Amino acid sequence: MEKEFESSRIVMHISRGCLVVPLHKELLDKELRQVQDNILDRIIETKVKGLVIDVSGINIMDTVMAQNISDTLKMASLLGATAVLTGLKAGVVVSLLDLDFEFQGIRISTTQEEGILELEQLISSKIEQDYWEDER
Amino acid sequence: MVANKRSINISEEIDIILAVKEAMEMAKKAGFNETRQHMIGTAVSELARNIKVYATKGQISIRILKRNKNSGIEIIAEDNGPGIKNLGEAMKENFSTTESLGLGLPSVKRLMDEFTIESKVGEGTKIITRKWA
Repeated sequence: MEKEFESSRIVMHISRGCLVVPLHKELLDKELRQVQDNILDRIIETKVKGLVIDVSGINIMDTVMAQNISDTLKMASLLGATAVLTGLKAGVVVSLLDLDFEFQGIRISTTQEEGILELEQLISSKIEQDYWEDER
Repeated sequence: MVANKRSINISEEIDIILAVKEAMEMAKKAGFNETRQHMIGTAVSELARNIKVYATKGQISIRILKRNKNSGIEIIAEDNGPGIKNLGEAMKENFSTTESLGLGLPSVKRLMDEFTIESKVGEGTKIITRKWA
């Protein structure tokens, strides 16, 4: 853990070049939006190349929250951070299906650790690719 | 101790969170497993949100049900809001009024086992929904 940031009672940190955001309590819509703003600010400020949003502490994800998380992950990608969603619980997955909500185009990993590992590999292969493209 | 019956007034966003919390505790008491507790909580979240967005205020009532050896939970969402003009349309998949996400009523129906709705334009909406453990 290199650095910690706090926003709306959510503590995010940078681990192995990735911004890790564990969501673990019920948040009001405006708090969710604030967390979203803070995530995007941190990405620009720290120039991290990866974002992990971990929802293993979330039991209830309604359509508004799911949409917010999905948007945040997509915005992060547009800012150049490869994003992954981790820690979806069985109850959340079953409910999302009934809500007809799909995390379209979102990379998903089971645990936070696995998410970081996946991002590390993706980012390093991307850097290598960029390097070879520059050489040519 | 968790009560067998509870009513929560919905007018602020925080009330949605309170209603969900209450529903989850009662679902647990009624014997629902964790996954199904979460489904009930999600349904309550959608119903309470509808009240807040479309009617500004209303009420969520939660009750533990007993039927023979079976137990369940009943959620009633009531408001005196504008009502729903076209119920048939609102229950159709992907139907939306002002918000892109729509009312989410088909979702609530899928999350729960039983679902009935009454709505009168200018008078309000009442949704009764149940799920059995």
